[in-house]
Amino acid sequence: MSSRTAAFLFAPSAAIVWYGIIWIGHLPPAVLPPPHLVVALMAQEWQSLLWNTYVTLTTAVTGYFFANVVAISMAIAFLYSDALKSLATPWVVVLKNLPIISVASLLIISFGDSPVPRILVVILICFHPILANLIKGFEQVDPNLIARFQTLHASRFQLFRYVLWPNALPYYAAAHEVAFTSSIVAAVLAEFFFSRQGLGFMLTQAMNDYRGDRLWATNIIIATLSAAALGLSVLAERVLIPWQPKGSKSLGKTSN
Amino acid sequence: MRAVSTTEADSIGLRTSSPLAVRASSVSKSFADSVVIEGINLTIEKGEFVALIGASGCGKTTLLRMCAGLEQPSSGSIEIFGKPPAAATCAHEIGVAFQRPALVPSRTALENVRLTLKITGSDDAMDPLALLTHFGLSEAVNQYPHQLSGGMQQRVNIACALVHQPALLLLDEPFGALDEITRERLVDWLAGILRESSRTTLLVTHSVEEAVTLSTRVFVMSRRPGRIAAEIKVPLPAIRDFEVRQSEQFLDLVRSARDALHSAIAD
Repeated sequence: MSSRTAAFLFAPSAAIVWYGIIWIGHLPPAVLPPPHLVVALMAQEWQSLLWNTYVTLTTAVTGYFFANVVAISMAIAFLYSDALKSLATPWVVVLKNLPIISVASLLIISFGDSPVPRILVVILICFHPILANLIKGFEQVDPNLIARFQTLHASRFQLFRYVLWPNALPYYAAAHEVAFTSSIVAAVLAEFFFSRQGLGFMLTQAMNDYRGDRLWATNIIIATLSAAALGLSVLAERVLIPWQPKGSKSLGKTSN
Repeated sequence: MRAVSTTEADSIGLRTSSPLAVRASSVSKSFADSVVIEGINLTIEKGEFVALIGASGCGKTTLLRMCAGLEQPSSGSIEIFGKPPAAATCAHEIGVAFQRPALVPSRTALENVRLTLKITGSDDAMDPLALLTHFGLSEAVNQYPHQLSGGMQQRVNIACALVHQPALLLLDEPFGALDEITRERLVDWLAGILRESSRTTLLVTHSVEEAVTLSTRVFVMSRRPGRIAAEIKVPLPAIRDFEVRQSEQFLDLVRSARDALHSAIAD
């Protein structure tokens, strides 16, 4: 079976499993609302859902944009300055390994109820896979290729533009599969803890109101956004990196 | 030979007016605490094809890399056309091809050759498309390196080393990673390509036959620390076809080169 057919079968089979669980467990709608009630709620509250989706997406994409700016600048700076790399490494390690919830609480205390702490949370979660993959991409350049360009008296800029950057691009593209999906998760997480709008806020509200249908509707939207982010990353990789050998798609992936 | 007055030579950075393509004077090279090369003296005249054979790890690649300006001798000096290797690379006088083709993976065969021209900025150089066609790669010009076979990649790699018309070609085991058949065919092909020009070439190789087939002189290196253990002249006709390679003279030369290599390694 092709992976595309399997993907199309996913939605109907999820609904069947969903109904099945309700039927077997005799679960009331308050515990597990059936799919048709969730769909009905989505139709009813589409304006609010759409607005909050827009808010979450704005946070995610803004944070993601800056995560890229930060990661690319850092990777290039590290490439040309070992001292900077050594100095920055403990910072990167600490930032990457702190529980994001504790960092988020600090940011919220400092920045208050504004988009800034939420965007910062997205940046903190997303920058590391991009940085790690770019560094790896720069490091994995064929040393013979660099040597050949040196014998042609290529400038540093030419070396970067024609050798280092193209070599890092597949790694950079692979990082998006992890990082772009994480940006949605990060935005929802930030809103969950402190926000008065966005899908994360809707989750907390629905939880407090014991509104299973609204909770499920919001979750479905979040899952769809994450899947779309992944699909977009894979598509972009395919279009932008045509020289990538087939079957080596995991070339640049690093575990985060 | 070029006549250059002393003052003129000084003004353009030449110390002597030299007909030599390569002059290595008591060159030694150490990495950390191991001596790789010890006191090598050799000269290569313009237009010569010199092969350097030796066991693995004897420092022959290091010597080639020093000629390309990629490594500095620990002591002694190397001059390429009478100037330091760095000045020769600056003047785009050097072309190199390594064992593993060093091609930009994001560019097609043709784009790789064009990129070499772009970086050297050579206007009088060859037409990249004509060069690749001449190399039998007309159908591969728009393919990415990973789509090409090993032999084709190496031909593109050599095209990149030749396209800016360098006066000195440095080849580091260019056929070492290829299978026997491809290797034999490419040796014939390279002999033909290089016969057309009188380009100075230094070839580093493991293969005694390859060295004798292609070169006018063979240097045999001892094992580490590398020294020049023997020098064998190859007075064969310029065109070394199948018949020449079956001749007594050819087989004798291969035998004496192999003997020299064995005694160099045994020392």
